[in-house]
Amino acid sequence: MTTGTITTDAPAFGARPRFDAKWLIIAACVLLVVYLGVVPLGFLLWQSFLTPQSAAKAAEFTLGNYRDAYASAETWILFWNSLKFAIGAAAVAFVVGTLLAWMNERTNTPFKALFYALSVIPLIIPGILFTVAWILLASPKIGLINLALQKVFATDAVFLNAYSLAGMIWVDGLHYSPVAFLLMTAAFRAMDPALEESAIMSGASVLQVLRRVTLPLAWPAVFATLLILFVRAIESFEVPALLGLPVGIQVFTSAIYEAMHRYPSQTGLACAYAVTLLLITSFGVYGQSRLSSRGSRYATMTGKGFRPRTIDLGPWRYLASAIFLVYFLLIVVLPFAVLLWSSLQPFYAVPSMAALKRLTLDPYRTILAYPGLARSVWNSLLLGVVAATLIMLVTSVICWIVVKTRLPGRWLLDNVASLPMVFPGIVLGLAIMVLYLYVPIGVYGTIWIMLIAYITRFMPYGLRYNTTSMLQIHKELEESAAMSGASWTTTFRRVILPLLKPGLIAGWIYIMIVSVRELSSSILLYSPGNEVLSILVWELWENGQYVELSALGVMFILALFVLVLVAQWVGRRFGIKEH
Amino acid sequence: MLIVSGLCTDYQGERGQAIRAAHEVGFEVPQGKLFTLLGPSGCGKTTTLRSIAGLERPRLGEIRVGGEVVYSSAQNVFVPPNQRGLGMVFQSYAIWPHMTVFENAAFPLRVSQKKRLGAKEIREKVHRVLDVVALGELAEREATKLSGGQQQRLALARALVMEPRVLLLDEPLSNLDAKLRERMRFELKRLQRELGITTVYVTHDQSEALALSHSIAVMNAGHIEQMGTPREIYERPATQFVANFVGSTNFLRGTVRGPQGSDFYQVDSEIGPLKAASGEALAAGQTVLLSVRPEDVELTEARPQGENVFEGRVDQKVFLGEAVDFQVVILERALQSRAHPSLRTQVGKPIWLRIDPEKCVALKGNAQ
Repeated sequence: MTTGTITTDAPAFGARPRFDAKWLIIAACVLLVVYLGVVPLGFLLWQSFLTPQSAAKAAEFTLGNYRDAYASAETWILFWNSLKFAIGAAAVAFVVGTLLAWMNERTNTPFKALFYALSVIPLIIPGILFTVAWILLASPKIGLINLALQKVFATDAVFLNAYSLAGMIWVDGLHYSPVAFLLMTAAFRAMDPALEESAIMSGASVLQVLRRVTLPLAWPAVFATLLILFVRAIESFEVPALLGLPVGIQVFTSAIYEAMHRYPSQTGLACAYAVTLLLITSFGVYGQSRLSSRGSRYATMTGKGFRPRTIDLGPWRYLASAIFLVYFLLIVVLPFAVLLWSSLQPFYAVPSMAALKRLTLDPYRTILAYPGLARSVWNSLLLGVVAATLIMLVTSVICWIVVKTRLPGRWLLDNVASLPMVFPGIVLGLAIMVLYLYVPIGVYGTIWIMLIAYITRFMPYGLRYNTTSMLQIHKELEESAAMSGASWTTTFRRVILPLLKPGLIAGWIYIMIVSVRELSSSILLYSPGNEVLSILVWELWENGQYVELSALGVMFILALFVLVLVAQWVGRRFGIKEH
Repeated sequence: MLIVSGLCTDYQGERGQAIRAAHEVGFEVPQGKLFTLLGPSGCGKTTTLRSIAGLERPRLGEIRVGGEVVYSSAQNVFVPPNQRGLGMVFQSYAIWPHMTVFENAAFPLRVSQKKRLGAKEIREKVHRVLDVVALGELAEREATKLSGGQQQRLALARALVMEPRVLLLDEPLSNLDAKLRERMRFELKRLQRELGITTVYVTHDQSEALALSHSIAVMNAGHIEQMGTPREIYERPATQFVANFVGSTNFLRGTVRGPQGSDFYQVDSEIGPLKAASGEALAAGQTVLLSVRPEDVELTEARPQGENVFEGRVDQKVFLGEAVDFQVVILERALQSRAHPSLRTQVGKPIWLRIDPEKCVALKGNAQ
């Protein structure tokens, strides 16, 4: 007999087999993610095939909702409007963003480094405030730009009309042009400049290089960017609701809102719209994932990455700088300035000498004394903090399973956790609302239903932040902890989580920011007493309290700006890579 | 064929300030020769090559290709890169992933503005050049399906297909694994010699430079330190930098006593008095640095005849298979020596050294 036998299955310490907390944690996280990702979607589908439930009659299976939805000519107008709006807004964002990205990456425009640093600022302004600001700038009656142009040309013609399809496309496209800018900048940077240079050395002219090399190579990135912008535009709620509804231009998101706010609310119809919208977004998101997996085919061996030669624009470079300046004016300075102006007036008035004499801080006093303010700030912060913390912790476990284990079906888990990506905010709000209306576990009408919505909606972001950091953690770091005798739970808590810290903090702050700005899910889920900040802004708009809204908006934007500065400081401090 | 003179090129630093990457670079490459720019990363060799290509715009100087001025700061001439008629192979190969092998190689002919070729002519030319680089069989394959070595040969074919006046190669072998690099080195040399194409080659690999070139310019911090044939560079380095960068060497501090015959000097060194060669005139009392290659330190167990003979002790030895590296100590100064593996002297035992005065190069002005 040998004295030193090696066993593989006995626990290392103590003879009694212990219950391992590992499986409990993993199972809890997996169940939570699957529940959040799958159940609302299933329920939404199911609900769209039911008649409305009433006291007299139970719900029955029906195709009537779809028949009603698709038999009516209105739906086709709706469909057409949605497409026009989404394609238009995506095109505006793409053209503006790509032009700026090209000028920034491939030309010698002066001060371009400064412009790159400024490019994130527009993303801070919440959609509803951006839209309100553009109403103040470009509405036919009180729009400042109209009034100024009318004065200059001494006419009373209306130059800009925010309340139109073109106005909607302009405001939404402009608001999301920074997304196009960032995506296309990344695409320009990813391309090996030697690919273009070797074409030049082959004797090709600038146009030939563009047509035969640059464009074919950039096409996957261009298409992916267009798809992302399209999906985002078709999910957009604030712009269609504030600019489209008053003049009867409906798109899917605003139509869902209208259907739910009619009396009696038409849940079945809203669900039928929602399913259609989901089909469109799923198609878009699926297209994106196909593109990104096919994109690796175009990955080429890269050399030492010589800085790309910038094109000398000559005197035109001052024009390029001017374009940047005008852009920044349109997207940040003017919207913020008009909010600031109106926040200093006792009642809304266009700038004039008389109005200048009436400058006052009253709106700030009013809004700070507003009965619902403290509560909604508290609700927003509570929801943001709890959602961000839970998401980052749960997705860290999910991400560990996906990245570090060889568990069968882990790709499915990854997809389920990313599933909420296809949900437009208002569709998710609708799905969760009907779910907890029919499953009475006591969350409907409380703040917790919004927490569930936020966690579901922002789970994919948490997953993405965690995956980036998780990929950088070498397997041996974990293995050496195990060799030192640490249990899985200890390893996760003492080794994995601290190493994930940069990603965790960055993701936490990002989710915090998007939670506080969230409107389109909350709009269907809030109940009196449970308002959040963005809902408060919405209510002030509905009540016509423009100056108070502006005062709140100015403070809201400044607070978000500080939060972003903190995020960037943390990013530098902990060395987080840009996503 | 190619004449570069007084070339200065700047690049923009992080804060937009001009940083000089190449300073007063000048050389001449005769028809059919292979000229190498050798140096560590950041020495300005790639910038010089890209200035010749026209991908960088120099500040000052003149570049002539086959008598034609393609750049001159004095005459304000700058011929754009796509009209210079030069072939270039990039470090990353820059094979276009959306084209087949054939289309990649045919591209320069298709975009040519000088002469329009028919489809048949293009096919013939491309197949001929693909055959030269042994890719004829793979013409219809997608370019991304090629291995690293095949991509490299395709990049070469693409650069050769338009029969360029000068071929520019930017570290073409650095992305290959060691075995393949060795093979491609011979391949490249054979091709260049057979086609007789004037070539400028950029590399940081000294053995590549020595193996391939007709002549070499060693660059450091933006300027040329020394120019010469591979043998001159290796055996008669002009500066400490060149001696150190090309091959490995022993440096010995010394003071010149006086001349000893033509081109030779008597030097008091750390290991004792010895006779050293110098291309430049040295004055008595001048401090110099002596460079001796390890393979030029001859080791024997019996006392040898001749000059520059010293007695030392074996301190360490490393068996490398085809050679043995000895570390020998003389007067507490360690010297590296490479010997034939048949020499089996034990560590700690005495040993005799002899250094051929021809191979003991005195370098002026850079003794520490």
